[in-house]
Formats: sequence, C-alpha cells, structure tokens
Amino acid sequence: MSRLDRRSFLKGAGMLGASTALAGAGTRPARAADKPINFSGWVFKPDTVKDYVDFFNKKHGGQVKYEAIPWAQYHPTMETRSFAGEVVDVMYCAHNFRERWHENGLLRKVDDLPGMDELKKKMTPANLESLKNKDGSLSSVPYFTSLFILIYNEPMLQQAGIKAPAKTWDELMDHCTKLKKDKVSETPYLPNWNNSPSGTMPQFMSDCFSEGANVFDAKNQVIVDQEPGAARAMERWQKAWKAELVNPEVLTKTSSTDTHRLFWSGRYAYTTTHSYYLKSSAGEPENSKLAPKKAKMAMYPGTGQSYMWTDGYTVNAKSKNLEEAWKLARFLGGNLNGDWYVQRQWCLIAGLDNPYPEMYEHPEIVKSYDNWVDLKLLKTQYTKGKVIAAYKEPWYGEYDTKAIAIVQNIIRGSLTVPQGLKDLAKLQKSLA
Amino acid sequence: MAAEAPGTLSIGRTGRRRTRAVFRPVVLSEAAFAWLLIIPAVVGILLVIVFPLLYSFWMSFADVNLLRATGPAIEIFGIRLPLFRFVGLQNYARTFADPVYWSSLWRTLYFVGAFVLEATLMGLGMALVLHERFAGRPLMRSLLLIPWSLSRVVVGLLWIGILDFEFGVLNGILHRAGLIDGYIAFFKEGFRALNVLVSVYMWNQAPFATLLLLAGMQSIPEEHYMAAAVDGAGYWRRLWYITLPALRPILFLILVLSTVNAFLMLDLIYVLTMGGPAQDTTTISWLGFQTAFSFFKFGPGTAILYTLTALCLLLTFVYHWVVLRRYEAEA
Amino acid sequence: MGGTIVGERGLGRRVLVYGLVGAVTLWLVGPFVWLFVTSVSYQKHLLARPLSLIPPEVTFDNYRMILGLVRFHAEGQAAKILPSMLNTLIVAAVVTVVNLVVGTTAGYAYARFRFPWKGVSLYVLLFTRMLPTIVLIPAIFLMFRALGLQNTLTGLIIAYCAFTLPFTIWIMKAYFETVPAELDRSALVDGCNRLQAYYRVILPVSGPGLVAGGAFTFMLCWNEFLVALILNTKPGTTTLPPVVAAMNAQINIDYSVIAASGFLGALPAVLLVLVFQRYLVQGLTAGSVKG
Repeated sequence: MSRLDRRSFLKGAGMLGASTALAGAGTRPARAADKPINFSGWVFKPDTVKDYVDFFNKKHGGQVKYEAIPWAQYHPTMETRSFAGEVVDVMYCAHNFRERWHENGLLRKVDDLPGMDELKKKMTPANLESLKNKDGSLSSVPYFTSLFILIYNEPMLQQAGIKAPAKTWDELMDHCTKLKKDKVSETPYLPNWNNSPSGTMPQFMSDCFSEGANVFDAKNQVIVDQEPGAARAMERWQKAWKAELVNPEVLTKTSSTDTHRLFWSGRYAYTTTHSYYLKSSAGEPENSKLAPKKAKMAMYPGTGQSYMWTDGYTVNAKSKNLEEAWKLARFLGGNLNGDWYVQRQWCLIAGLDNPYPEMYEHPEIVKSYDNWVDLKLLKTQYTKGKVIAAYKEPWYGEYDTKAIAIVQNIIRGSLTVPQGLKDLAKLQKSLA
Repeated sequence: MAAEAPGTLSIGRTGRRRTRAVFRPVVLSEAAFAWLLIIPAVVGILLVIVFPLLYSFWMSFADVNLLRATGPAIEIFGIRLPLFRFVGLQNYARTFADPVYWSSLWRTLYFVGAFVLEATLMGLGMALVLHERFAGRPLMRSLLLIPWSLSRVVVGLLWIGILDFEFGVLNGILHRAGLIDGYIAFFKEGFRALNVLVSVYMWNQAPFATLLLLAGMQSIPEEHYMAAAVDGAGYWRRLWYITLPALRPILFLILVLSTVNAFLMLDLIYVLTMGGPAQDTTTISWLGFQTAFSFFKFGPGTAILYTLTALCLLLTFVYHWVVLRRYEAEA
Repeated sequence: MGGTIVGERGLGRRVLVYGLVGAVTLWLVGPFVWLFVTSVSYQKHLLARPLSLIPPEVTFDNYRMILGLVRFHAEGQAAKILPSMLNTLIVAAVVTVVNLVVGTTAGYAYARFRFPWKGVSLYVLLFTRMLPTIVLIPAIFLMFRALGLQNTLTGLIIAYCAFTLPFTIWIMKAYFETVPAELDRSALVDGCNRLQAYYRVILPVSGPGLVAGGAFTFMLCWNEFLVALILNTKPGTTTLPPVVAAMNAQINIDYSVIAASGFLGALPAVLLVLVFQRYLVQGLTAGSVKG
C-alpha cells in the first residue's frame, strides 16, 4: 500500500488551490526551528489536523510533532504528562478546563505576545469575554465556536402538511404530537440529552435561554429555581418524554456525535444540537438521508437565544521554545501572516465556526456554507448566542456532571420540576 | 516409597496431601527450592507495582492536584515525588458522607453479585456442554474464546448494534418475526440498563471461566468416573461429588477473578451508558473515575477506588473461607 | 465428566447435547458474526428500518480503507492500525512467553510445596490485581519516564509482565492442584529430581492449563488500553487499542468501519487460539500413574 501524498489529498478536497497561491505569495525562506515542539489535541479529524501541521512545518519551517488523544482521556492525560514533568508546548483546551489549567500555572498568558492585540480586536466581543480567564487575562486563542441550533427535517414536515418550521416551543410540540399521531414518525423530537459534557447541560442552558431565563446570576450562582422560563422548559421536557415523542435511549447515548447520527436516518422531525453537526446531516449524502440540504436550520425557538461556547489552543507556561509555540498557536487560532488558513479549512471541512467575522467574507467560505446551511441565518443565530462565565469557577466541573443526573430525573418524571430546579441550586451551593 | 512418612498421598474426595520427598543429600530444602522457583516472578511484580501502590495509597490521604507538583517532595533514585498536602482521613470521610457513594455502592454490589452468579453459572454450563463428546468439538472450543478476545470497546459497540432501540438487529428480528409490536428500549430504565450491562459483560467474560474449568476437568482421572458409574451414580451425582470438588481451586479462582473484574469494570460503562440514565448505571468504579478526572478531585477519587480494593479483599477472604476452607479441612 | 451425558445409547440425550451445543454456539458466535456483517455493510443500510439480516449490498471497502488500499478521510489513523497491530503482537508474545516460563514455574511451586510466607505472598500477589489501574497510572508514568522506558516496547513489556504474572501464577496454581500429585511422586520414584519431575512429567500433561494461562496473558496484553495510551504515544511505538479508540472517536466514521477495525483487531487473537486449541484437548494418558 502506497503512502498517500498529502498534497494530492488536499487537492482532492479542493484546497490545493488555496495553499499553492499562498506558497507562491511572499514565502519566507524556511528557517529550521531551534527545537522541535510538541502539539497535542483531542481526536477530532486528526488527519485534517495532521495536514495543518505538515503545512505549517513546510511553509513556516516548523518542527511540530502532533499527537491526538481520544477525547475522554485527553485532559487527564495532559495533566498526567505535566505531573511527570513532560512539556507539551501547544495544547487544545476545552472551555471548562481552561480556568483550572490557568490557575495552576500550566498555561502561559498570551496578552503580551506579538499579534494578540490585533486578534483581540478581530474577535466578537462575546466570544472574547468567554475566552478570558476569571481574572481578565487571556490564556487561549480560539479553536472553534459553536452554539445550539434548531434543525428540522423538511421533507417530513411537508409530508405532514406543515408549511414552516416551528417558531415557538409550543408549535414545535404541536408539530411533533401531530407527526406521531399521523404515524409519520414514532419519535419525532431528538434533543441532545446525552450523558456527555456537551449534551444534557448545554441543551438545558440553551432551552432556558430561549425561554428568557438565566441559568446563572452575575455572581455565577445557579438561579434556575427562581426563573419561570426554566420551569417552562422543564415542564415541556417532561411532557415530551411522557408523550413518547423522544427516543427513550437518548439519555444513554454516550456523545453528541452518537445522538446527532440518528438524525441521518431521516426518521426525526426536529433536533437541537451543535451547529456544525448540521454539516454532516445536510451536506454529506454518503452518510445522511437528509442530504443534500433536506435538513435545514431554523432560528432557535422562543427568544432565539441558545448556549454558545468556545474551545481553544493554549501555550504551555513551561514551553522551552515560546517563539515557535506562539507561532503555531497563531497559525492555528489566528491569522499568521494575515492568512486565516486554518479557520477556513475548519469551515470547509467540518463546518466549525470561529469568532472572527472577518474570515466569513471569503467567497470560498460563503460558497461552501451554501452546501449545507443558510449562512445569513446562521450569522443571525450567532448574534443571539449566549455565553456563560460559570465554567470559570472551580466547582463547575463537579456541578456540571452531577447536574446531568438531576435534569435527567426531571425528564423521566422521578423529580418534579420545582423540586428538580431547587436541587440544581442546592447542588451548586453545596459545591461552591 | 516411604509409606510411613507423614502426609501420605491420597486422592479423591478427601483432597490430596503432598508427599515429602525422601531427603537425599541435596543442597536445597523443599522450602528453598520452592522459593527459588518463585523469586523471579515475585520480585519482578513487586519492583513494578510496589512503588505505584504505595504512592497512590499515599495520594488517597492527600489533597492531590496533578498540576501543582511543586511543594514538598521526596527524591528516590532520582525520581522526584511530589507529596502534596497530607489531609489524613478527610478524603475517606467525605466519601462515606456522600449519599451518592452509598447509592452507587448498592448498585455496584448488585452488579457484582449478578455478574459473578451469571458468569460462573454460564461458564460452568458451557464447560459441561463442551466437555461432552460430539462432532466438531475441537472447533467449538476454539470458537469459545471469540467473545473474550474482543476488546471491550468493540464488545460495547457490537452490542449497541444488536440492542439499540432504533437500529439494533435484535429489535429488527423480533419485530419482523411478529413477536413484538413496538421496539424494546434496553437502555431506557436504569435497572434494565444495569442488567444489560451485566449480561454484556458476562458474554465477554464467561468463556474464560469455561476455559479454566475445561482445563481442570481434563485433569480429573477417568477412573473416578468409572468407579462412580460402577456404583450406579448418575450424571448429577457425578457432577456434584466428583467434578465440582476437584474443581474447587479453579472455582475459587473464578469467583475471585469475576468479583475483582466486576468491581473494577469501567470501559464497558463508558461505551454503553456513561453511567446513565441519570446515575442508574454509576458504579463505584465509575464514580471514582468521575471524581478523579471530571471533578478534579484526585485524592477523593483515589480514596473511592481504594474502598473498592478493600471490598475485593474482603470478598476474597469470604470466598476462601466458603470454598477452600472446607476443602482443606477435609484433607 | 468422563464425557457422557449420553449413555452408550440414548438418542434423546444426543439430541439434547447437540441442541445445547447449537445454543451455545449461537450465543458465542452470533454477535461476532453480526460484527462481521456490519463490517461489510454500508452504513445507510445499518440505519434503515426494517433492518435486514442479510445486507442488500456487501462491500469490503471498509477493510480496504483500514488496510490503506483505498483513500478515505481517516486514512492517517487507519494507516497506524497495521504497525500498531505488529507492536501489540510483539509485546503480547514476549509477555506470554515470560509468563509461561516464570509464572507457570511459580504456580507449580505454590501448588506443590509448603514453605514459609506462602499464604501471605500468594494473597499479596492477588492483591496487586485488585488495585484500580487509573490510580496507579500517574506513578507508573512518572517511574517509567524517569527510567527512560516511556515510548518503548520494552517498557510496556515490563509493565504488562507485572500485571499478568499474578494471574498466571494463580491460574497455574489452581490448575496444578487438579493434577494428581501421584504423578510427581511416581516421577520421583523413577529417579527424577524435583525439577525434572516438573518439566519432564508434569508440564507435558499440562497442556490445557498452559493454554489457559497463555491465552489469558495474551488477551490481557492484546486488549490493554489505559497504560498503553499513557506510556506509548510516539508514532511507531503505539499499540492497537489506543489507535482503534482514536479511530472510533472520530466524527463521521461509520459503524461499519469501526466494526471492521474491531473485527481485524480480534482476528489475530482468535486465530492464535484456533491454532493452539488442540492442546486444550490433552488429557492424562492412562498408565502414567504407576499402580
């Protein structure tokens, strides 16, 4: 079996044009780095990331060694490495680990590094805020941004005579009830109620926001027991479960990937999930029955607000080659030499969004989004994305995990809505 | 043979005693010879395990933050060991005060009990069947190990492919055969999900019990059965009075191994349910893992997992008493 | 037990035996067959309802992708599968040999002799297996890194030997305890010393036990995930389970590709057992015990 040439693969994906253009325009002579640097990330298209690394090594004379670690073990593995004295110069970091890594001195602040000020100005303010540490400093450049969106199955709705997707939650429930009654779908609603950190709780927050409720107050205390919007959302969830509008095993799916894959079968009418999952549902005919573009995005019901977050790349405080590490970080998370290369590739390949509005003006990007989503609609949704700051608190990890059990018990009716919401507030207070 | 030497050999129901070799002018005593055979293994194991064991045990009494490795430390053979802050029994106290720990504990005990029972019975059943003579027996014995040879990630994914509510093949078959109207959601309720976990894990592990039992059954001399047959003993009596007693050491081992495996089992939960729905399949092992790595409380997480170790030890002694003591007492 | 539910006659019982055999076969092998069927299907057929047992279309593309014969989007990961399979094979083979030599001998000593500290040492060994691996990992990583054993196959071999030897010792001890000590005695009578009695007389009839112990050790090494993930991350030193896990964790990988990688991963272990299974059938030969 021949070792396949990366450039021909890039060409196949329609990207070679971009990279050759860049390679021609004003390349610096390749300068070998003094020391090789290590780069680690969790597993998400590691082949694509390897391509980026190869590109970086070739174009910018880097000596980056890349390693992908399965998501579940990623952060613990990084911490174990650090514990044993090993230094990984550039690391992915999920938003809920960032504060901990920052406070424990694992990350280097990037505010003062060259080019950061410019990048800060190019970011949307909400995302910049959510990227910052609790003390206001910045230790991360963005990897991707996403938020919850509403996706609907257009052919199925049309089949049932529904002309337009639901604008309110009540409408959505009515549609689903009708679809089930007419036996168009047995379980028309697919919420992201899985047990992973990207599942039930982000879904909970999105639905609360869409009902006009806040989950945390200004001091990051949980206040859902005082918010009628939260109660409304939970009552709706209970109703949906009881009416069997939802796949009963949605609670035990182990990741949002598993959950969203179900939508490909075309047997669901509505799903609420991460924005980039629409790309595989609507844009990949080899996988999804709802491609091309039969799965469509609609504005999130109610107020239209949903939960938004940003994960990032970080630089190790103990890195022995800061210059190279920062260069790589800027390449991955920003616009090294004025080129938004990696941001563009992520959009084209995986539909990952980022907080740099400027990058979306590239015609190639606009065209690629056309394959799976109405870009204007997505941008509008992003203006309604709501971030939280509570994950910067030390108790957040435990709260977030234990809260899943409480919310899932509300859904199944083992807890009444008022009791469950009170339990959430109590849980947070007990950990604070 | 020195028949009047103490500890004459006898076999059968009364167990066996060891013979004493006639002492020739040999350099090594029996004890020394035995130790010679054992030393390489024991030393090798201890060298690797002792240090991590002691260190992690210490960690269960400390406030551990893997990222803050500064602070007091000791140096052994050039390896720097951060000591963290000693907190005495605090981690354990907090663990025992947590209601989630106790609900997980009952769940774990149920899981272990159900699993050990199922795996042992199934393993024994299969061993008995495979011990019979029939055409294709060698092939069958090879097929036996297939479930056990798969990694648990694959086992989990495989069974999801079979049991899933939406696209599982079992639901598909039952539905087409007209046996069920709707589809069965195996993972919907906690108790059912827990039982499914037990069964899937049992599918994965029972073949090894069968292998051990088969190996042991091979060693039972034919004469015993022939003698019993002459006495008019039927199948079940032969099983109860000859086979099972001879297999005691192996049965003990199977009980211990299944218990320990069930207590520590983690990866199948990760692939199948992630401890859910809610906390319905959260065992102590899973709780410890979550505590250490999702809640960033490595000290308490270690403490939780060491309570598991204590439980394993306890149960091992119980098994020893129940299964082996009587065996040795009859000697 | 002497191999007969069936008497010399008894058609009814014969039917019973074959019925049971059939049921056991289905239970053992059925899911595995489904794994194979999944691995040669297209994902869209797997998600379809009603699901057909026999896939409408069969494709070996999934295997071709994994083996690098066909391009696909996760080929970088897939290309690691064969080399890491080789690494796992090496590690597992070496550890199994060490266990069979060192562990079996120790098991024999525990089964046959009395000596001081016997009981304690036995239970200490078993105790080492009751420790949860995850808490041991930071310390193991620290230790191996300091000793330069990180990212080496040797390091993995050493670590795995420490994990598997206690089991092997216990398994072989339990097995030898079912082998009548008369055999030892008759060997000693014949003029062997203790060591010779062991490897000339006992070992040759211990095929079933050795296969059990060896199979156990091999499987443990073959499927071990956590320690391999932490210790060996340099490309070229990785073993199979972390590579497969990484492949499975990717978005857009179909179930059928995952099934194919799982099937491939299980194949060497299964084949090995198929080869050695005849040793499972060995029994004591009549006349080995002098009357």
